[in-house]
Amino acid sequence: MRYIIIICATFLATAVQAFCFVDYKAKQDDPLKLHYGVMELMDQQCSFEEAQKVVKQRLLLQGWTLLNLLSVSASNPTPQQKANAGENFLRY
Amino acid sequence: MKISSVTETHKTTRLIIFGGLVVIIGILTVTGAWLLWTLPDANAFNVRVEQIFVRNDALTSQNEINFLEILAQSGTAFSDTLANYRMVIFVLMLMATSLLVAALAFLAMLLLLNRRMAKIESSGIQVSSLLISRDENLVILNNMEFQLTPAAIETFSVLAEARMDGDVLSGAELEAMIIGKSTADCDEAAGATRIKRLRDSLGNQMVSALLIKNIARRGYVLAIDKDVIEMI
Repeated sequence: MRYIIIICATFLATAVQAFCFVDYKAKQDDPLKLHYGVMELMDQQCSFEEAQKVVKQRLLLQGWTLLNLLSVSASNPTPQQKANAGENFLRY
Repeated sequence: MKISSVTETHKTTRLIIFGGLVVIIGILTVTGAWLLWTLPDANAFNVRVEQIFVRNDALTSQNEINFLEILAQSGTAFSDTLANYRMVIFVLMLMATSLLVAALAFLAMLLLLNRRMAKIESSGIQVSSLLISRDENLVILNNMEFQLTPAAIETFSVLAEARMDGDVLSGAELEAMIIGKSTADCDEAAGATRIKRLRDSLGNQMVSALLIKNIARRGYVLAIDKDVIEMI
């Protein structure tokens, strides 16, 4: 019962905060560097096209070129995604 | 105008040699350009690795990404090696071109020399230089000196001048030029006698007959190239 309440609370909280998560692939040239990362976006940026623009912009500021977006989702990232992203989890 | 077969073959040979040179240089230039054009550039490997990364959504774990990066780096290292090879191949091709061109040039020279040798053999005497010294009554033919009488030297000089102008002198004309009268007043036989004396004083009948030719019904001419004649 307590767990259900907590889960509901977190869902409510995310609904209120209205975040979404995108995972993406990016690169740097000379020498070629690749990275997979997860980014947190505001609710109004959560359409695929909008997210692409924002992610591209944010990565460019850090010297990375966006290759592609894998997914945009409102739910929390899976542990698998978190592990794969490593230090790039919510980094940019 | 009649074209002799010697000139004709000469022209064809020259055409073939020039054609050969152009073809050799053309082929090797095209191959060289193709070589430089088609070898992959340093970035080709990176692009390929990037494609693999983008196309496979599952390739997201840290290890896999590191592995792809190493793959790209080794590709770049390999392309550096390729660039070196390209230089080496290019230098070798330049050398091959120059060697082929040189070989063709030597072949042409050999042909030309052969032909000239054949000509020399058939002509019997090849005059490469003829020097006439009027003061000393001397004719120097291919470094052989011939001491002549003043009259013979006079005849010889007139013949040489006529040869340089490309003229053929009849006996009467020859006589007229030497004694300074008009041709009508001169006897054909007098000129012929001068020629005979010149040939006699040059000694060898055969050699001088080869040198001072008689063209039937036209007259006498020196059978040598006009460029080798020199007067002092």
